Amino acid sequence: MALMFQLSEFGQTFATRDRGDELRRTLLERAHGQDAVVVDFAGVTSVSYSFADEFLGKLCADAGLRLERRNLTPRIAAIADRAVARRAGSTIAC
Amino acid sequence: MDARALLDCHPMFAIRLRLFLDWHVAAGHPVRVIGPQDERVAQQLVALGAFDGLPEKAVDGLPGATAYGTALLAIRRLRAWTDVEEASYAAMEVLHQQAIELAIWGEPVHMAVSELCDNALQHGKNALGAYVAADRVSDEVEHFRLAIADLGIGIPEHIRARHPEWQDDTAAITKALQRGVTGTGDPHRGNGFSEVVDDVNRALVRARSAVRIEIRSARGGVLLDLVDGRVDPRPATVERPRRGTWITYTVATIA
Repeated sequence: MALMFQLSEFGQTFATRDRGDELRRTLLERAHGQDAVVVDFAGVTSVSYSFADEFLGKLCADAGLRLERRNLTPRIAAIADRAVARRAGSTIAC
Repeated sequence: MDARALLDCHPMFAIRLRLFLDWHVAAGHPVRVIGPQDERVAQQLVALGAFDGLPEKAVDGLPGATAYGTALLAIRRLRAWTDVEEASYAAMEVLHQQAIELAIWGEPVHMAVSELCDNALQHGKNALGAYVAADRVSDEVEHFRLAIADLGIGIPEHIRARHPEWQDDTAAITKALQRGVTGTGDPHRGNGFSEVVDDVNRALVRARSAVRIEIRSARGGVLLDLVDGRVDPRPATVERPRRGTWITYTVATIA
């Protein structure tokens, strides 16, 4: 069973690399022992590229988890795709 | 500080003034300011929060708290990521409340404030933190003027940690703006500024606007005029060396 990680629990706008690092660590703690995570962006209105890279890019590249993203606005989906593709080499794993 | 002769007030000037005053207050120096004689400039400085945090008796000749001004984002001092998130969100929201020509710029400006202030805090570490402010100037052309500054080590010194061969400051800044160039050693970083520029170029397809980004740091300066999708940085005139990094992001749009 996959862990459901609701980003709206932490805010609706995410803007920095430090914030991405903090949230990635929080997600990894919660996902301990599981191999799949659903990251739900419902209610999130904006993210920066560096946040997306630090949070999603590193998760997809390094964490060894199956990651599914849900409820992204088209703009956030495009930012996340670019961050994941650059760090993980492809968006297929996420 | 005798500001009586001031005739104009760009948000970057307001930040420079506030930084100067904060630095002296932090050093324990007594501070006294004589406000501008031009009432509109005085009102704009008050609206931008140039004197916030100073003791009341330290400032003479300024209008009261009901001052009129076109400040969209009064000066914010940023010391942690929470401050950056609040500032970038506030800048986006205030643009969304403007007429459509400026409202289009909400998301690109969110990206710009996020990335540029994140860099200022991460690479420009200093006791005062970073500063951001924005205003709107209307005549035949509507201008949104955003300013971001810090007193950190500056872009040239930061990038030379990895590229010591880039000795000319303007050339070092120009190269630091390229995608994938970073002073951190992480090959996947160094994309934030390119994302800011790409965001501008995507918005320009929908908006009758042009954007100028001006970056000054140490003895270097670079101008980027973004009008038709081309990115062509050119050297800016640098009158004197500056500690830290000073960035203006101006949107000019036909109202």
